[in-house]
Amino acid sequence: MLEINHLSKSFKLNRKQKKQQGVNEVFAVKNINLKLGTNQIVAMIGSNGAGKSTILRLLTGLLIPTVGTIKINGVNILEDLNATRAQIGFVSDNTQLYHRLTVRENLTFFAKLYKMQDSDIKQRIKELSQSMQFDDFLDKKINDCSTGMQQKTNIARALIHSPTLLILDEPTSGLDIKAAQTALKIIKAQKNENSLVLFSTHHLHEVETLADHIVAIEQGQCVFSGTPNEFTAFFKADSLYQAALNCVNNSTVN
Amino acid sequence: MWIQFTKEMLELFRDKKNLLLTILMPIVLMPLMMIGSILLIENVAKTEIDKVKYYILVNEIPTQMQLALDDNSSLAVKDFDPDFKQLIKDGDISFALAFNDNEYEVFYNGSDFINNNQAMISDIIDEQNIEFRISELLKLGLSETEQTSLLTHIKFKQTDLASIEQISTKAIGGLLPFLAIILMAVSAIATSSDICAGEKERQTMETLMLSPNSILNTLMGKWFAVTVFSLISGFLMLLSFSVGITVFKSMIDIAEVQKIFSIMNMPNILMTMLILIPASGIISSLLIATSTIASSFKEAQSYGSIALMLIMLPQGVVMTGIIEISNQSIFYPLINLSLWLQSFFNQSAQFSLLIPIILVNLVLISSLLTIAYSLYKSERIIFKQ
Repeated sequence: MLEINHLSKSFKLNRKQKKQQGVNEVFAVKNINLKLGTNQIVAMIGSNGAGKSTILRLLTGLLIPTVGTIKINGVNILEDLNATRAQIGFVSDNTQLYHRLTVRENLTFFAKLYKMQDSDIKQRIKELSQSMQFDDFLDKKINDCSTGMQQKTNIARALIHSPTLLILDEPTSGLDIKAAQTALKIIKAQKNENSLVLFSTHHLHEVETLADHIVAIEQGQCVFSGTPNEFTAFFKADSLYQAALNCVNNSTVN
Repeated sequence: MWIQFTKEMLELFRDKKNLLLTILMPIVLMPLMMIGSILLIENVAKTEIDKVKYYILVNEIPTQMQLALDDNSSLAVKDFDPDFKQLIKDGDISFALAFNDNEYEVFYNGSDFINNNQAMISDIIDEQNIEFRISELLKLGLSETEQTSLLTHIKFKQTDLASIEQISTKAIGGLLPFLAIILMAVSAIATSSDICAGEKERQTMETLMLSPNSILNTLMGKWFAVTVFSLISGFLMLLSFSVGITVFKSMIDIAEVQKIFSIMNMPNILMTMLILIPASGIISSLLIATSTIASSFKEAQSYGSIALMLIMLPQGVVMTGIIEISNQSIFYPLINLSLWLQSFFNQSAQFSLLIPIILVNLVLISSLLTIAYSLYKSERIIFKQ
């Protein structure tokens, strides 16, 4: 479903940074190779600044790779970016909604951008609002919604066009316990939709609860890809927490 | 593009700040400012005309001059005061007159433009000089023809053929597009900052860029929304200005002012509206480009202020009437629209010039939108926060 080959991304430095670091560019992502299938939830873990968000933004086509290819269902995303984007749903801190529009208006606007028909949009909004329990808030402006409700709407926005690849960058960040629990439930429900869910997180209980597969990223490189059991075994630990700690320590030493 | 446009319009209409700048300001503020200044000028002028101007005689002056001054009903003499120079400086009297050795000396305050009477005194002296010369020549026994040939020298005569309508059409023809364009630019700064830099600041830009909508569609939708909003602002200003003038026309009882206002007729208003369409296209494309570079609303407004200066200065030159529409000036975008409109107001417009004028402006709009498009394609610019 998702195939990443030799993926690298560098960012050019400004004059001041060039002077400080003595190089013209830095690689945020270095030679990532991954193959992930459908009907699974993949957790991407790693330290702050490891390159998780950059990888996820590369997968959506928001950033263009410096080197390497990303294929979704066998198609290179850069060959037809718009067609690929129609298969992806993405939620992050940087994908906010229009605060002056209502929940319904936001969802309708994005659905229209995905070229959905009016009748399909109505039906999909109904489905999502009922399954995610926000039908009472449909005509409330985003400005008047709580952070939890905004995140629910944001996930609904990413799901409006029924994507086959749902990417979430720290989906529970900034949410209270109840809102986080709701968000996790929604993510879990996507596993049965013949799709791939890829989410990044720092919360290991979320990995334990949701993930079928773990991808560990450190210093822009993929240091592990496998099941949670394989992860603990690989890092010679008896718990996920200890394995994650060993993963960070090993990568730092390396 | 339409989906994007509709969303932008919905958002802009829900923002009180935008509505204040785009709807309320042109409707209320601009006509009030214009009519307020006219009423003020009229009031000041009337007060000054009706006011009795006082003067002081420093010493005894010839009877003929005394009689001429007495004949002027707006003048009144005051008793001599040795401190008359200070009285002139303080504005307590308009002037003082002295006569010594066949020479008149007028003391006055040059900074007080309204109360300058030295020209009037000079005219009286000229008249008296002529009368004196005639009487002296008569004593010499010269004939009337001989007197005329002696007294007549090269004369300077001025004949202003311009009617008050012509003067006012030139002034309003320059002023109207200037005001409308400035107001449209103010509105475009607010809206473009909101829907371009504001998207980055509110972190909705990435959400938008994730969709399979092309960058061109997104950009055109935004540009069209800013153009329409700035046009609404310009049109409202024109309409409220016209309505305001119609209402206040009856209140201002000066024939010249009535004539000035008469040029605000329907064909002139409609043509101004048509000319504002390409003008708003240029303004919005320039401001879309500048606000795309900005990473925050505040930054976009700073860039917008610089852009406003770029728009305002040439328009100010047009307003002064220094340049006119010509084969050279048609190549100056935006300015050529104002110049052509000015010629339309003067009833000297060449409609054949409209084609190159529109083309020049379209080239600028396309260039600015191409710059904005390349900025939208840049990761560094579009995701800068």
